[in-house]
Amino acid sequence: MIKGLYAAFTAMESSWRYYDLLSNNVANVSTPGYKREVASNQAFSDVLLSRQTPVPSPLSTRIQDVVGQIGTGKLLTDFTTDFAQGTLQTSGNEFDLATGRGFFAVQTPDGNTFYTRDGRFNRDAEGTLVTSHGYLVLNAQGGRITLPAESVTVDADGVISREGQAIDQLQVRDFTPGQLSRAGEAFFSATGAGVQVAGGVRQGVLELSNATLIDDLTTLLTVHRAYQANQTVLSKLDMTLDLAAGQLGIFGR
Amino acid sequence: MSLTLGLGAAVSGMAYHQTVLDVVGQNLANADTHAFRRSRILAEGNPRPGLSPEQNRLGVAEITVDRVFTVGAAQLSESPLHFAINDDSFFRVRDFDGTTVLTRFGGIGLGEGGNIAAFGGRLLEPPIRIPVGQENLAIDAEGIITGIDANSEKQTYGQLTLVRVMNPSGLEGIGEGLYRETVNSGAVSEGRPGSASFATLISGALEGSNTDAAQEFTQIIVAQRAYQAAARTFGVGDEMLKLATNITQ
Repeated sequence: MIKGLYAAFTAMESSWRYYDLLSNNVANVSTPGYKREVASNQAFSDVLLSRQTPVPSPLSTRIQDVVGQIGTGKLLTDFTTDFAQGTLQTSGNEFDLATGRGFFAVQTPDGNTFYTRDGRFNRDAEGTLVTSHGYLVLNAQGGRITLPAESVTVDADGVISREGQAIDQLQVRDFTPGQLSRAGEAFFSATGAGVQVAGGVRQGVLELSNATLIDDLTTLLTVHRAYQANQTVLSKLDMTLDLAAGQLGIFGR
Repeated sequence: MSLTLGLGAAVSGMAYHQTVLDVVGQNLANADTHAFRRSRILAEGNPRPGLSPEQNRLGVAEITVDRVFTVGAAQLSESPLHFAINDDSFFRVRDFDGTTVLTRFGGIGLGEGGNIAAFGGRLLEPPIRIPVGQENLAIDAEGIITGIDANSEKQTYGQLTLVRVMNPSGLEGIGEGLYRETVNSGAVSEGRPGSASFATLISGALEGSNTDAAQEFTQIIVAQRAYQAAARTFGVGDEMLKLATNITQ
């Protein structure tokens, strides 16, 4: 009885966390460079069994077997980022950059380096290439990029040139999947320096979000119904408990 | 687990897509305004290292609206004195309060005191003065303003100066196609049309708006559906909270 309550409760809790995740995906459906989060469910019973030490008493052993079979509780164990490429939108702006491989490196004023697919860059008043937040866009050597006022071209390797003369090269780094961790909607922190990749940069193109309304709303329906189902189970269990604890054995009826 | 995290994210999505419609409305209203520069609205993330996944699911973090300075299509004009700027530069005019401002709208004509004036009678900076009795005023691709004097001879009165700022999106738009320099717009370089790094003018034409109606309408569709999706998400969250409070009757 109590096991069932707990199973239903954990399922509700994980549905709620899943809802948070989906809601964030839906809200960021138009955020350039946003990479959607996906979650995978794991049956809670497996986790429980693997963590419990066997109890010698015959009764406890029997109960544990039952848990293994009926355990319907679940746990969101794994939040992963879907690194699939977002929709590419042609904008024609000089410093809207997209990369099909790797990430652009940007540096915040406190010296932290982040990696992003959000390629909305611009010159600042001094001609330094910055993001729309004003963060530095780094070159291949990790320094700032200073540009002339006149328009420049960016080739597939991230080399910025003016009338055929190379000025600088953008830092475009690729990582193995485990090296990146989420640090805000379109930003990632990395452990390790990654490797400079070539051949994926496109000028005048913006990579939009890779969240899709159809996927996330469909999942949202499932999550909603799962939540509802488990709430019903909890309610019914509560009623049964009420009968057992409150009604059973009342004299004089 | 926070009770209202997901609801907050959904609301931020709704608010963002509402603002998109405001910007699109402004762009579409000026789809026929000469030299109008459309604005672009985009959601933007904030780098937040070292937070748990839950703390990072806040929805739309920031909204940025940038003016886009791509060149609009040139449209033929009835006046040979009109011109369209063919690159990302501007020219200077003196505003009524005496300050110098930038514009791209090449609908110039003869103004007060025989000076060449831009939109609304604002004089060019530096001014170009036309003596009395000159006819057939015209501007050529290099920005040289010529005319025919009383003796039917061709005269040259001056040449337009183009200016380019380091960061056009740092300019402050003050209406009527005029822009004021700010600390963010950065260094200014000057040049004659057709000289190094400045394109020649298209004379006898005016630059149109750079609003692309098809693009704006696509944005409306996307914004409307995304708003709907965010509202639906909010509704589901509300429903789930209701279910939670109804566990025990």
